[in-house]
Amino acid sequence: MSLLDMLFGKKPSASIAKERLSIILAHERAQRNGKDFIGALKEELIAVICKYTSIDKEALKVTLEQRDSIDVLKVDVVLPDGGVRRG
Amino acid sequence: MAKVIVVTSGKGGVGKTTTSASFATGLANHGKKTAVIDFDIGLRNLDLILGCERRVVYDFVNVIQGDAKLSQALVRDKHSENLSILAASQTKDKEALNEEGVKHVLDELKELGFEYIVCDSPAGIETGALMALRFADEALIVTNPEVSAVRDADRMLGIIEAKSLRAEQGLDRVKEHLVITRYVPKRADKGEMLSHTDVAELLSLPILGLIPESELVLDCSNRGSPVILANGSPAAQAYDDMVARFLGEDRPLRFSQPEQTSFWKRLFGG
Repeated sequence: MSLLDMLFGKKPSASIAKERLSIILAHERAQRNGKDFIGALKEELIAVICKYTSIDKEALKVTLEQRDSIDVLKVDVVLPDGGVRRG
Repeated sequence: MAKVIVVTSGKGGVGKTTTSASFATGLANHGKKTAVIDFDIGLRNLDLILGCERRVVYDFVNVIQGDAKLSQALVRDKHSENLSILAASQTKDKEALNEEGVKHVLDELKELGFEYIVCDSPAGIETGALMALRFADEALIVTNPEVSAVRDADRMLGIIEAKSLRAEQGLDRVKEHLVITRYVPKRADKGEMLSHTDVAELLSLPILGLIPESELVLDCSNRGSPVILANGSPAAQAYDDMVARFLGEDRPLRFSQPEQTSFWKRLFGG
């Protein structure tokens, strides 16, 4: 990775590798340890959020990552424009 | 008390046999009575790497099936008098290894006074690999800095946690160590290769050995001489450090940083 690559914003492939691995390893470890609740959690979260606003299934991302010695549960929700129902 | 150490990886071609040969030779050269067993039934190769292929008469499976005595099957290494080799069988019958038989051979080796028994695992997660890790007290997890190798290494850690006798019996867990092979510090520095710290962090394992990429590995296998004996070369020094650390010595990590490159090279890459 040269300085020129950095100037043009090209991401070093090793950091892509690390990111991809940390996600897949966390997922596979969760499966091994019987902690594969991510799918069920995602469904339930969508159901709850849909009570208040309509979101696309694709707009919700749930990931479990391992950073050093802690597990980080990350939930990303993209709300649609003007999609919040106000009662 | 004898120790059983499995050298494993999941993925093939990352340097399990190369590492087993150097590790076992290193232990023997530290005066430890060591045996190394090839668990790759049907694909025997450790004998070639250690240069004793022509002296193999009986093998691991012959001993398990009672066709030969252990003492007849053990081949004395030509480089280190403290090292003995038990070759894999070339039979196609992969089920020739059974738990009872493996346990019997390990127990007998312990009775013969071997202090370290190194189990060179085949790739994959079949019988041979499971038998190699079954009785392990410690494990060397070998990986190179590639995504597929790291993932398989993690998978192997899971299998050790589930399938080793220690795990099953609720004893102290198998002590796992990380060995990173084919490392190119320059590429890691440039962000082209996972760094040794990345790999250690991803697998949550302490680094026991960091082996630099070396042309010498092919040369050594051509000659049937373990890499650790290639005096003065970086790969040999790295294996020597690995063995010393395993035996409790505190050695700084070498070959983790690139040699200095010029400003212009860094600017334009290459």
